[in-house]
Amino acid sequence: MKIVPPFRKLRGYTFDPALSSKMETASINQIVYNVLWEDLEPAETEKLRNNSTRTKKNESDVKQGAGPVGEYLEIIDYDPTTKKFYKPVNLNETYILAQDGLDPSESNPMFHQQMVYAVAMTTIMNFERSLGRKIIWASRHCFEEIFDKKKKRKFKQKKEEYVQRLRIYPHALREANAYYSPQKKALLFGYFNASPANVTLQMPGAVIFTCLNHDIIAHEVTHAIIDGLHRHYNEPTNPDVHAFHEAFADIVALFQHFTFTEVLKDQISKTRGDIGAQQSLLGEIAQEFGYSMGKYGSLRMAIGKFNEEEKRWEPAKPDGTEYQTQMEPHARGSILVAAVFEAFINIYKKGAADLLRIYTNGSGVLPEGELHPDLVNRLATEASRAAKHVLGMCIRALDYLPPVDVTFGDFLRGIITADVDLVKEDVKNYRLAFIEAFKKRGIYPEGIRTMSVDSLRYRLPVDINKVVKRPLDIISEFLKKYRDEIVYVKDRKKIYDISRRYMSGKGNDEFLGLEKQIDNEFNSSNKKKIEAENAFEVLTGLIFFNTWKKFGNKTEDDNYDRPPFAVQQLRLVSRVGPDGSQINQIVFAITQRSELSNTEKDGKKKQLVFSGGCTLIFDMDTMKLKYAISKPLLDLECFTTNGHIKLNMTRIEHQYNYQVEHRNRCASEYNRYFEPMVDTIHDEPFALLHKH
Amino acid sequence: MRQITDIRVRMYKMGTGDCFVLFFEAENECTFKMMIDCGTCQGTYEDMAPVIEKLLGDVSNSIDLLIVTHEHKDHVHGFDVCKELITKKLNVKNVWLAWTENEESPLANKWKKDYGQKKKALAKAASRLKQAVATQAFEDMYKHEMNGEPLMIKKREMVEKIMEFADLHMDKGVDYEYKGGLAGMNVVKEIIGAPNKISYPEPGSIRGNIRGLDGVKIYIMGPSTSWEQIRKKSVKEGSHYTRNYMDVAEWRGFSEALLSDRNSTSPFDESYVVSEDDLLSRYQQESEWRKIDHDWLYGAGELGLRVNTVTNNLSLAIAIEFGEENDRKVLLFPGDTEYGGWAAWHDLKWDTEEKNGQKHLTEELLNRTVFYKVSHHLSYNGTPRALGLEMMNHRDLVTMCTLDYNKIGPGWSRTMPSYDLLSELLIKSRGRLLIMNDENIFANDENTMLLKPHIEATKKKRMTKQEFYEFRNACREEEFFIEYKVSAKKK
Repeated sequence: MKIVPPFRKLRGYTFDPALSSKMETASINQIVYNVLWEDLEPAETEKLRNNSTRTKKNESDVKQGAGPVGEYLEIIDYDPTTKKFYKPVNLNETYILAQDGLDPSESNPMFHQQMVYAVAMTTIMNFERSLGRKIIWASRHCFEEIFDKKKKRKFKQKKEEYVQRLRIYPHALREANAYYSPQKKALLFGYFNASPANVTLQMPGAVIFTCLNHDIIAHEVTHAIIDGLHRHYNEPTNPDVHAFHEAFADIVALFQHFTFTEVLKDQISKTRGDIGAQQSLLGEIAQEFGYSMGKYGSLRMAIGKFNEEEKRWEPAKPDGTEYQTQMEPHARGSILVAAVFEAFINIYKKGAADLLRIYTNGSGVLPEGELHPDLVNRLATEASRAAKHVLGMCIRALDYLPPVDVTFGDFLRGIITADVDLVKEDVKNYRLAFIEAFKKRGIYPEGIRTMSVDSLRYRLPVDINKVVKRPLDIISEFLKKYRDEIVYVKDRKKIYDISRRYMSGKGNDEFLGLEKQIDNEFNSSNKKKIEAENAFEVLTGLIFFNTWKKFGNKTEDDNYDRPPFAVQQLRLVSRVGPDGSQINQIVFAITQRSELSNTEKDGKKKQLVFSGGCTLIFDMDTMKLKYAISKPLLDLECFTTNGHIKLNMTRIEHQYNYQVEHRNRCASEYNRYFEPMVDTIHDEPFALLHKH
Repeated sequence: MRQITDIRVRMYKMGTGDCFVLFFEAENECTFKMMIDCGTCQGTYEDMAPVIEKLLGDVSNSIDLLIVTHEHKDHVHGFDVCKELITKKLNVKNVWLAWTENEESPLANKWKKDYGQKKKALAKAASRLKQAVATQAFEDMYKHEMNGEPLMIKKREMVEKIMEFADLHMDKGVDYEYKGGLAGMNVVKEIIGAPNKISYPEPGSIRGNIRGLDGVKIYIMGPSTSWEQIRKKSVKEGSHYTRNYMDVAEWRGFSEALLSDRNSTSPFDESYVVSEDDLLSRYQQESEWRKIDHDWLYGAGELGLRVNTVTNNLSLAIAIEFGEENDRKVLLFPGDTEYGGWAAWHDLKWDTEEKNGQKHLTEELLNRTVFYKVSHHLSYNGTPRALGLEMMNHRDLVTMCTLDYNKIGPGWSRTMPSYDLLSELLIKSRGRLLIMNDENIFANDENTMLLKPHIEATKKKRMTKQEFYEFRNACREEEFFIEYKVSAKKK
């Protein structure tokens, strides 16, 4: 019997080709990426045209196909600027397999394909490991033309299409930019001629490829993954949303570095003198290697800086006002990056303290000369473990975020709640490390009383499952069926199809999805039932009763609909914590939007799409609702005190003020020129975000 | 010899763009006429001819010195559109152009060559995009997408704005082939300036003893001779982002890819290129919505901004000084100089022994500025804070802006005015802000406050009664111009 190898080993740059030309960094700039083994096939003609059909391999196709193409990614090396295809690499070729992939080389486009493939897959695997499920890309929302036989005319019907593979174009642009295109479900990487500030590091005029930079690849893949999880995070309803997208992508790129122990070993062994240098070293690595290009380094500038006088790197000292004053997405994003980095440093510090005590006999003073290799090993392991931990905590938090209008505060609450769920006892105070770092920068979540683990974690009223009994019972019964059907499914397409059917099954096959079930439940005119079930609206902050039509969109016949709602991102989550405890949860989100218009003093009408949403997390072991993380459309206080129904004016005002006033002020020159700010639909939002 | 006592600055109203005449007077007798630029960002002969006829009449068809600040349509368009009118009637005695326009300077030539390629690439990208977004293939790409319709509109709007940049730098020609700059500039160089009327004053030099300009000194501030300074983009002061935009040089590959038909622009060895057209045709057959054929061309948007900044920083900027010994007053005409250019003024080595205290002469000139032609139509980048506005703290400061919302491109109206700058200018000048056309211009981001009443309110609040009347008496507005008279002595 043949045993499938666990990994495909592929060589690549650790950071960026520039560092391979420097003596001190050359040795650490190459690593072997261990990429989860998958059967890679160079794409065949049919597959290029249609993702879902597979045809038999054909020799000539193998030679000329685009590639590599795997389960998650398809790399198509078409360069529109020269209208040329570059030869696709066949990673299955014996010689390539035998030497862990092609030699790292800037001048070989086939290596470029290998590099993007390796880093993108590494990033995807990091996410899957932490999330405890398969990554599925954002689906394509489109129209389908259907011929109505009765009326004898064509009409357009909305359709959601599964996208199996993220497409990667390694040479698509001629500028120092790379971006994820939500429309095309593709990553576009650029290349350009260097005009370096420091000519000793880079040759002026040399071609620089963004697709060879680990950070840039990890950053862009993360954008795509987040878009798959939270597609409303493209909509900048508050200053944090875009900043969060950017910062998160940077956090992933940054901490992925620290999981490479070889690099850490090399750097740590160079440290001499005081222990403090140990921590600043990590900061220096984080920054130095993020430097090379455009925005990718800029987010990290907030971590600290090199003190020219003292000739050493110093962490930045936050003054607690940054979060209130920095509104530009990158500046704001860097606050979050710095906060997470500080948490990491403190976790590492604690982890390494005993080692250093043993080594220095408690004096804390390192002896002259090089460190003992065993200590170097242990320190590197400690740093790498801390990095994995921090990265894991951040990624897991993604399941505990509201579906719309996210803020940094929500993220902190997500981190804490996710961690409380998975790790019963926080012996090493990881959570505190995060809370402290956020507090120092003035990031306080709204509506909590104290910055403690206890008040930051989400909680539901103890009796909620009794108060909102009927809808919750219906939902959890339904979710049980979903779990049974999906629990052993490993095929991503099947997972997608089953989940979609359970979310929005229209009943064509007598199967009603969650959307219909909720709709039916509230469509009743039974007064008694209505009163009893207001509680579900309080829970979610959303509007379900048809009687409350006035908050919705104007329909063609001048009536109003109830604001439309959608169930999204239904997923089964199973994770095992470090103490062996397992969590089994089902998570889904309900989103709802209301179109508002406001007539300004100058008589101009301003439109605003106001979104609300709620992430519901069910514990499948107890079959009970565990969390409801909501951005309410309704003014809940008003609703619960006197039964009045009105929209949440505080949130509307926040969004309006931000979109109409602040955004324009803090936008970059490029954005002010090319992008009207108040729109909700953005053409290549990530391409724009990266311009200055 | 009689000293110049007053300077009447006349801003002609042709639409967003500069066209000034300065009348230098010695006790009410005009001894010298200086013209600065003649352009507007958009306009036909019918629009512009009446204004120019008026101008010609005002100066009795004679100009002592013509200064053309830089090669942007909104500064030279008039010379092209009204070529006949101007070249036949107007007698220009001398022309000053920026040193970078001097074809005999090797440095200038090298810049022009590199930089001309970028302009050309910009124009080419714009025209290719324009073609691309008009095709059926383009529509097919969005046809089935959710929000496809608005996205398509967005793309087309973006292309319009890129065209706007291309137009600013290059005349419309057949397929946008670069013919060496704007026709308006060529008219100045080849007809108005011929023969041998053109000189190229060096930055740092001080021109005095000009016939008809007794007691007047002209300080040449820019353009800098350092390419580093010229390409420097505005940096938000206090921001820690030092370099997160692409430098003009980094667009080399982009422009080569556009301008060259050969394969040499490919970064890889020919052996890596798949020779058969097979793959290409496969890509062509692919699902439209994932194609990327034209996405790279949108990079022209950013290139446009860069090219624009560079051209602005190539402005011939001057400071005119006149008045009594202990109260020398300065009029500042920076062209469209942006941040990098202003920064360079402060590093200039001035051609003088005189030292007035510890201050650099540039700062000192800014301190004495009583009239400021606002750079770059009130854009954010046009007037730097610490290196510019904060140093202009003369109590009598008057500002003049060449902005007109009735004639402006779609991208410009979003970046001009910068409301932060506008409100600071208003405070600094105590409301003495003369704008070409205040219609539809607001005073704040939220667009809740119209500019005109806001200016009036500021005047009342910040000027003394006497200042208010003095200012009113010094201003004059007619159909085709707005005038302000700067006087050496208070009346």
